[in-house]
Amino acid sequence: MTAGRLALPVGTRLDRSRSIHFTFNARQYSGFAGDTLASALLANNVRLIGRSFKLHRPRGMYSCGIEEPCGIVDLGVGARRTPNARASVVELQEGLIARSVNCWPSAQWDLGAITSWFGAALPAGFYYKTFKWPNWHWFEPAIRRMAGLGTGSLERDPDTYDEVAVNTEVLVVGAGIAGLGAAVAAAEAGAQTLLLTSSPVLGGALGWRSDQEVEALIAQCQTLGIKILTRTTAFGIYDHNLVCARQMLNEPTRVDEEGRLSECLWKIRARAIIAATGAFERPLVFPDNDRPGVMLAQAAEKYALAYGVACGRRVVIAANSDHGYAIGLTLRRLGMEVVAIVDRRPDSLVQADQAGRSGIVVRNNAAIAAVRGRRAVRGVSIAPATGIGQIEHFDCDLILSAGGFAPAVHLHSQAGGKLRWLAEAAMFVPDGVAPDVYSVGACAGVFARGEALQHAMDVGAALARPGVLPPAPVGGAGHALANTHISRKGGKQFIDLQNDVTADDVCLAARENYRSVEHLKRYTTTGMGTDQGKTSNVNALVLMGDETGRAPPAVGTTKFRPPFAPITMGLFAGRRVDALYRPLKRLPAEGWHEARGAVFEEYGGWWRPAAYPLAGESVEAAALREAIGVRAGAGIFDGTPLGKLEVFGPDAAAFLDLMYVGSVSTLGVGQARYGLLLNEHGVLVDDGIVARLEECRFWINTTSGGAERTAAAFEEWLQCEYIGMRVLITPVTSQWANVTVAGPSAWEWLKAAGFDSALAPSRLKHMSIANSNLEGMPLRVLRASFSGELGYELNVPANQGRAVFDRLWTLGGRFNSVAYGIEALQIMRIEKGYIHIGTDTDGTTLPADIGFGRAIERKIANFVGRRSLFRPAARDPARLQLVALVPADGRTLLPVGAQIARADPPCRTEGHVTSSAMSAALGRPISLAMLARGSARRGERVRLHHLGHVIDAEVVTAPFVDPEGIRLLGSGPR
Amino acid sequence: MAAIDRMPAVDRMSPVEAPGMRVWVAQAMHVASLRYFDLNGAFVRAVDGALGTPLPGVQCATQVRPTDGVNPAILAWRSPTETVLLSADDAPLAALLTHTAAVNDGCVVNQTDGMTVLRAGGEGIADLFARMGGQGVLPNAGETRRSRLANVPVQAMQGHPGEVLLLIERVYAAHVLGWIRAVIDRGPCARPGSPT
Repeated sequence: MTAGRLALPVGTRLDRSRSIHFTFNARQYSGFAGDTLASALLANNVRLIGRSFKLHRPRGMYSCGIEEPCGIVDLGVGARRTPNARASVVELQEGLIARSVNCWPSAQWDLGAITSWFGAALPAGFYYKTFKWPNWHWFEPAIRRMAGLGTGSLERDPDTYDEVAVNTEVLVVGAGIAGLGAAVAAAEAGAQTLLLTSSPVLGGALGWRSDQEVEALIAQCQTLGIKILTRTTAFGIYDHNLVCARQMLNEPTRVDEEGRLSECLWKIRARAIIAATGAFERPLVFPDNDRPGVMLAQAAEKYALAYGVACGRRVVIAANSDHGYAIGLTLRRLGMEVVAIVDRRPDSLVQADQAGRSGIVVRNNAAIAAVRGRRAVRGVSIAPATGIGQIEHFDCDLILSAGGFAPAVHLHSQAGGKLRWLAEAAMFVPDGVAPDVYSVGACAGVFARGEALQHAMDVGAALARPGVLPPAPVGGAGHALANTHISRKGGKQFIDLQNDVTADDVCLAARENYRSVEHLKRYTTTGMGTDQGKTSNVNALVLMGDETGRAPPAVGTTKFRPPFAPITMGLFAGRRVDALYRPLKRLPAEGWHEARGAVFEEYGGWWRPAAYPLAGESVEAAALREAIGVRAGAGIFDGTPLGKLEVFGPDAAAFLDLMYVGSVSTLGVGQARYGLLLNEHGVLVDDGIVARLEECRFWINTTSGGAERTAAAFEEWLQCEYIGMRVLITPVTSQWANVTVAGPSAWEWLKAAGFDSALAPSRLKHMSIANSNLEGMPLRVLRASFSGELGYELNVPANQGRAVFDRLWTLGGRFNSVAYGIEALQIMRIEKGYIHIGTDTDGTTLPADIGFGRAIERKIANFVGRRSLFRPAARDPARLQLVALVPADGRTLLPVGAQIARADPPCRTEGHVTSSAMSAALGRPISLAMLARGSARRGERVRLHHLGHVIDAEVVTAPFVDPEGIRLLGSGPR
Repeated sequence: MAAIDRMPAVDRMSPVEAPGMRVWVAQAMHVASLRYFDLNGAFVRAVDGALGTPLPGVQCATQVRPTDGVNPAILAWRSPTETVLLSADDAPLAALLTHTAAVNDGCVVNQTDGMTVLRAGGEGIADLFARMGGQGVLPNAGETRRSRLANVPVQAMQGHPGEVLLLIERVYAAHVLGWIRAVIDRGPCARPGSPT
């Protein structure tokens, strides 16, 4: 085992003056500044990184970049534990802690490796077939425990995540020579240009080769003021040229200060996008091609040149492209012994001669037939590709796979671009351009350096100032065979190393007729996981084509979907955590409620008092006390969240007639009416009160969460259907605070506080509205009630809300008044049998289901949803209908969501409980429910099923309290 | 909940300051929605008569005659049927109500208590807005832009030179200020990768 650091002067990324210490699998190691975790591990001769996904086979580093399928580690500890990081792109930091994944007790000795003994019995889809009987769910927990890779933290993420939204004229993704050239040309032509690279440094594959032309381009970028974001990976293109990118600001590896900024999500709107994302190296398929010590050839070259690491000392290169020869010569120059180049192709090439002259054994039309070594490569056997001929054996500790290239066409494809198969080089390349996405360089299939740079600069300039876009001069990658798999027994030939998908699995899928590439992916899992098949997709579809007698273009590729690379959930959340999770609407009198000891909860997007518990009192007990207090005396409630709209215009009444089930145009000025708002399907979407302020001006109360959707619905009907109506909708929810006073003593309380006597119940009737004022403060007073008590909704300018609460509260003691929250209101409205939209109704509830059938019959004029209410299904007597329920034992609170059914589950249900409360007035539980044929079943016993329990209940008549409605008129008992 | 939620209600509305940036609530701003059907109708003519200036064009904002010499009133286009008025005193709104009382092809809706006006100044504002999800929120002189910041709708217009006024529904003002606090806690202006 002989991986290790090369002598100077190689290692362009390294700062050898700065040692960095880190821990891997509880052992201390050191590397240099500039190292990745992978390069540092290899420099320390650590080649066994972890175990594979399904078969727990030993795995080492396979690549040097984002495509890494095997070198997966968990980073950090505690809350900063990050699963499934690719060691190849993790920048080494002092104190970094990493560990292998998917192994126990260690990567060296993994108990799970037992599964590899049964590998033959575990082909693709084995669990679909094997664990069907008697029930998949019996096996699922154990299989899930065994499968998977790393383990995330269950602790709260201490890091914070930023996001930035920017616009730019030209966005260049990728900072290799083509990307740099395109960016320079675009900026020189005057375009505002933004350049992204996932690497810490610019230059791409040439950046670590000390290339003078690349360095000159980098200098030009800086001179031209091009905005450059390093460590930034564009992971998706979305509608209207939105590119999202993840910028790493800190590696999530160290225990650091709370709230440290970790990553940034860039949302970039670009007029034009240039993709310069390069190409991945395509591996060859041969037996045991997953052993630690088998890796991509270009990766070994990069580890050597950029990080000064020899991934092995005796190298055999499995080649399917000319590239493998060049790498062999480079490694040889660096002091590594290149034993042989095994070329899958029959051709004899100039570079083959050069390699041969250098003493490297070259075998054409040959393939690796076997790999010796389990936890590390010890040698190879080479056989003619035909399968006939002599087998040669070589000792080696490193096998490099140079199978050709796979252009990184992800962004092009995500943007809707088409692909075409370039047979000579066995690769898919962009077929033309995607909308506003222009590929340059290797990702466009342009591999000749000079042509790639010129084309990229031409594209950059053409996009900066309207010009003719030149076609991509595709070529320069040389010749490669499409299929490198050899039909040979012995040793698994892996197609997808991350998911343990072998060539046999692909062949099995073909035999079982999973011929579609999308079916192949899902059946075998090839192309899934953190690498998304960047090293496996082409090999898989080529093999599928061979097995089914189709050329690769006929097989096609799976859909390239975002994200291009794994993204942390924190990045998507950004700042939307805790209080900023989503916009919460705040009450103007929030401080008053806080001072009263309110417990706040979110209801319909509002942060509002649930209850005002006394010391040691629960919210439930407080709500019950508050409801009792309101019914006995008076209560004060913050109804500000009620949606409020002003509807103005000569056609306002006629328009509202169309919007609501009830008639609005018959209202006189100062009158109000309850209204149901339906959609076109007749389904209840909101309810509220419509009041006429003036002849052409109405005041609409919606539900607390329904203001925006009601306003939007009104606007939609006005703008799309009733375009001739002269109506203006103005949301005014925030303008008015609503101080609701309810209870038998409500008016006495208001009178004592100085409110106008014109508001007395005898003068301002139930369901009336009046403009008033209190010492100059304008008021809109609505007599309405959701509690069933005499109720006043005092709408006051929001800035005055707290003052009104204060003024009333100072007098509240005289009337045994209470402050009550939303939970007490819920109790009281259930007692009255009042529905709450969205709680007692759902996306199927029609007005007749909640007892408004007569209102529909009465209204002859048209209204939105009316037609749907006369369909046979809408008039089916078996529909779910609102009923009241009480427990048969008189004690058990009926759980919301409990299903009503005649038999034990599984069976067809007849309905469900929608609202439930302990009645303050009755002292026993009461409920509302939706029940099939409910209105005809009063007095009937029903059975409720809830989490394995059965509860008997009785259908009763609502309301539970004050069925005559005397109390809300203000003439009830005091 | 996070620290912002534990702040007393009054503190949530306190100014937010950082090097190169200040955001604070403009006190005592009068806000009104002017709603109309017809740009050539009686209501719009009455507004012109009351304020002495025509309504601004699409996505434009105009300054109305200074009322106190320091804080001129602003008319800002909001939609094809709505213009919003902002003023530091109640004179323009009172004049509007008087002049439009007799016309019926439009109305004035007082939103003074329903809208919060934030003033934002300093060279870090562009970066701040970018980090609050706003693309192209910053208006040029004479412009008004409607967009979203911190996931809530805002309308932006220029106030004093170098200062942006953000018109936000009152109920969201604490949320927006909370987001601003969260952003500047991390020093947006000095961070690598700040947009330019």
